[in-house]
Amino acid sequence: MWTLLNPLFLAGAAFAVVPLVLHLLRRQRAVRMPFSTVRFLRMAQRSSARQVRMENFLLWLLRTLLVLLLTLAFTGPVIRTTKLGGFFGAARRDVAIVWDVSYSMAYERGSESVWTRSLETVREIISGLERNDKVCIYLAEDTVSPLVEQLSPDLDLATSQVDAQACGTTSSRLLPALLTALEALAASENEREVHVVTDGQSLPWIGFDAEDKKDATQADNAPAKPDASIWTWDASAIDRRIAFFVTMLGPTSPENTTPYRVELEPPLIMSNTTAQLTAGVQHSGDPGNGSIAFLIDGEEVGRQALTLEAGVPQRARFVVPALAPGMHAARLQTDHDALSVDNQLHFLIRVREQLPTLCVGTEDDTLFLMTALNPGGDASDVDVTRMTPAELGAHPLKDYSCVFLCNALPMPGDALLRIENFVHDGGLLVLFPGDRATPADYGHWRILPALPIGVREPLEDDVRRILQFSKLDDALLSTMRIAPGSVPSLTVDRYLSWDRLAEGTDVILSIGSAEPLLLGRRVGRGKVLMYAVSADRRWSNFPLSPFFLPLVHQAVRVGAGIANEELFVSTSRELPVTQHAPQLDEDSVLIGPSDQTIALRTIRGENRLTVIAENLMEPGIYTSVIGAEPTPVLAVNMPREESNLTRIDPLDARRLLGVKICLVAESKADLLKHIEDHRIGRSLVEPLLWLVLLLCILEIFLSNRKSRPRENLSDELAIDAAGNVRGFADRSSPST
Amino acid sequence: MPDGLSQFLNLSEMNALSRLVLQSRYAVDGNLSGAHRSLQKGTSSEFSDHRQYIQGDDPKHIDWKVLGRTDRYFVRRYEDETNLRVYLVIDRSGSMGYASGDQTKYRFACRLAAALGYVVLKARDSVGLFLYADQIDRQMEAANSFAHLNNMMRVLQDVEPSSKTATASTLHRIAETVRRRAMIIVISDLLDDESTVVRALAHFRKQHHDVILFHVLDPAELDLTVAKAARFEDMETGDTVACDPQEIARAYHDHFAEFLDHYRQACREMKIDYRLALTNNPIGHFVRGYLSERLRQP
Repeated sequence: MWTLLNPLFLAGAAFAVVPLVLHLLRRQRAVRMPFSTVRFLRMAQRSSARQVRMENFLLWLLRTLLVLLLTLAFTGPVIRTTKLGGFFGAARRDVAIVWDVSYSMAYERGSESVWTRSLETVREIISGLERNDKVCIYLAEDTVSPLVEQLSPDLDLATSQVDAQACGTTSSRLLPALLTALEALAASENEREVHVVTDGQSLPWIGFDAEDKKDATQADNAPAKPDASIWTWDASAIDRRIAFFVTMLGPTSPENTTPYRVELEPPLIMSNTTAQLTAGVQHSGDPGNGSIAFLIDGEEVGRQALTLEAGVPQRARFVVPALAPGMHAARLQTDHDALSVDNQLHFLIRVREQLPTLCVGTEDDTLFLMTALNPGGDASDVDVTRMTPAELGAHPLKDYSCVFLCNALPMPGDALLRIENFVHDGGLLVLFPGDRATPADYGHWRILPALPIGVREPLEDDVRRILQFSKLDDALLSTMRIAPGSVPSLTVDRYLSWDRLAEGTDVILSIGSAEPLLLGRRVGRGKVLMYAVSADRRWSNFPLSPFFLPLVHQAVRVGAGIANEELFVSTSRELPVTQHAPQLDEDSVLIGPSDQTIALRTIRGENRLTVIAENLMEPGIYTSVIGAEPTPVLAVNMPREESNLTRIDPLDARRLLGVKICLVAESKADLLKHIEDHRIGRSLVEPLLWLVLLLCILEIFLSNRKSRPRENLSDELAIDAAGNVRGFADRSSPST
Repeated sequence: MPDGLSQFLNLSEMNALSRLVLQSRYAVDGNLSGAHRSLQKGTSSEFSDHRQYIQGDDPKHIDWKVLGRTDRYFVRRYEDETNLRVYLVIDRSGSMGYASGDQTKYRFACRLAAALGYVVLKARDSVGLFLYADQIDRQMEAANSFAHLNNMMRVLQDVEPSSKTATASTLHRIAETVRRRAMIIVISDLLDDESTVVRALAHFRKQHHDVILFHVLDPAELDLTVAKAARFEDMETGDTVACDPQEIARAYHDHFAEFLDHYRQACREMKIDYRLALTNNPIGHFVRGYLSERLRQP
């Protein structure tokens, strides 16, 4: 919509007739001039009349346009985007601000960070609002957090909230925040604006494109995109009058290096052994060199140089030295760069002195098992405890990594439940059947690999069975070595026969061609192993076979590492920590890296206690007092997908939003200009003056071309002193 | 107040011209003995051919050597040399009154005629005059005296350019008037229909006259160097054309060049000396240049 700031100047348009008047006056003022003959003048006039008329017309047009455009420029034309705002003063405005608070906003750019710029930008957006305007602010993290949830006219409060906001430590998603912002604006009757203040990385824009979402669900190794299926962006459903302002404050070519992955091999570290640590490093930006350091308990134990290249993950391997038993705080650290908050990757190394194992059964039933678990006496790695099924009672199981049940069924229901929870939380349960239990006694358990339907006794000539390794890649068999040419066999007098196997069950060992000897099934974070024969000689000679001892030992080791404990967790507003730090209970106190106390709450359900830590937003090592000493229990890091800095093209951002009014700025100044253009109107004076200048140049060119002195005919003819005309040969054939 | 010849030539110019000669390219038919080849066989030392003796011939011309070889009488014949009769044909039409500077085309034509007449007389040849516009206004027979030349110049001096041009018809009339072979020097701006003028010149050539055409033009006519738009008025017809010379200069040059080229081509074909005489040329310099070249290329 057009508005003229000085419409009185429109009267100047009358000057547009000046060029025409001057032209006519010039024709009238032509003096009479005697000439020898007008014959050639008339001929020339006839042949060039068309061109002359065209040139004159063009010049007249140019000069008239110049006057008109100059007049128009004086009137101060402004294009207004608001329809009534120009006539009735400032319209009421409701503004929703979506503020990207991901940790990539901490990128240092020049003397200040992107975060500082974004803070100033948000503050400027608020300060640019008038009285009666309303604002709401949403923080785009991995979830949506309202800073000012409802549209509020209290701009001072909003500003103070903004000032108090700190840069986040999570990644971000703009889609949920934008949809929430639009929902907040839905009831508004005023002019509406949505401001997106971000650093311009492409990650927060995931989910806007339907194809993008489809790809994400199809790709196996695609990064997690939370809520991708819940949130849908439909630009056609958005009110076309809502103006979107996207401010991208980040650098156009960001560089960042971060350690993003760590692996320990073996995952189970004993106090007297070393291990290997593999660190993954990712880099974005121009290629370069760097280094990575490995620190344990604050001491540097290794450093390696790296050749960094964008999109090519680098690996660095370190030796983890023999450590004292307990939890050790470790970290990987890359060189300082513009985004320094992700230069450290914290993790915990748990070093065990012994592997606590519980063996449930009578002395007779567990005789071979106890001997196998502690074949050398007290010096074994395995700290084995034996108790009878009756003694199990309320005995806590969380300190054990492996529980053997030898002819222990039937058991009380609560004991079964506790064992089930033990498995769910990452423990290994090894079941040896026995004569005490009937197949019905197994029917109460939901965690078994298969339900026994009876005990089978083979004929005398069929007791000798070949032992077959049905699942060679199972961790249980990884240490098993069979001499070439040998045929392992067992003598089986009785064994359990099974109903159909439960889902996810593997047959690890078989006797004969089809009878399973050992079944395995993952349940929760733990695992259940169930043998078809008992742990004594009554059912088979398995306890006396050369396979029994290595299988039992490997079961204990697998049990210790079966939970596959994560070395670190990602920052989160709410995290169930039971599975990561089983030491924590409802009475524990969790201390953050800055010595702040982390709130813990517990949820009790199904005979299980789940401890939930709130606001684990600071990366670092979290400790808890266990015994007398503060012990590291949790390593928290920022999610690393945000560290892969890839700038989104402003045009792509506009395309993804797909709304009618979308203005993309790359600085605060740009944004303010866009806002001014949008709210007040865009002044056309400058473009008009540029156009006037252009037309002036064109007019001067045409006028000069017209009045440019041409070469004289006498020069062209090259008349010599004797009157000879010598130039006709050089002259082109004259036109007729 | 200078009068006659001195009105158009000063002493220094006359001195410079006195050493020049206007030589006819063809045999001419004069009435006095002179330096030019004559159609008559006569008394010069230049041998021409033999003729059979007839009664009445002077026996001293009998070629005795031929008689000895052939036993027949032949007389030796010699080329005669006669004087040159030059007619100056000067255009005095209205267009000749145009001047962009301080000298009209007519005055330039008069000065050119004075210079040529002076050269002709200095070579003991005769000079005559035809002055015309739309008809022959004045005719003076060729004579070999400076007083005659002076009188011619007085006639020219007393005339002002005016009236329309009828170059072609006038030249035809002149051609019919001058019967004996002579040199015709036409001094005009030729602002007439080119084809008819060319035919008139051809008329001269048909009568074996040696024709020289001086095309007198003002530089402003050639270059159209008028700076401002104006209403141009034809000096002969009074017609007017309002135009801006800047706008039509290119086309004007093209048409004018075509006009000049028409004369130039026609004159070359008819073996007529065609010279473009611009009024800003110093007259002595121009005549000397032309006569020198004519001597080099007889």
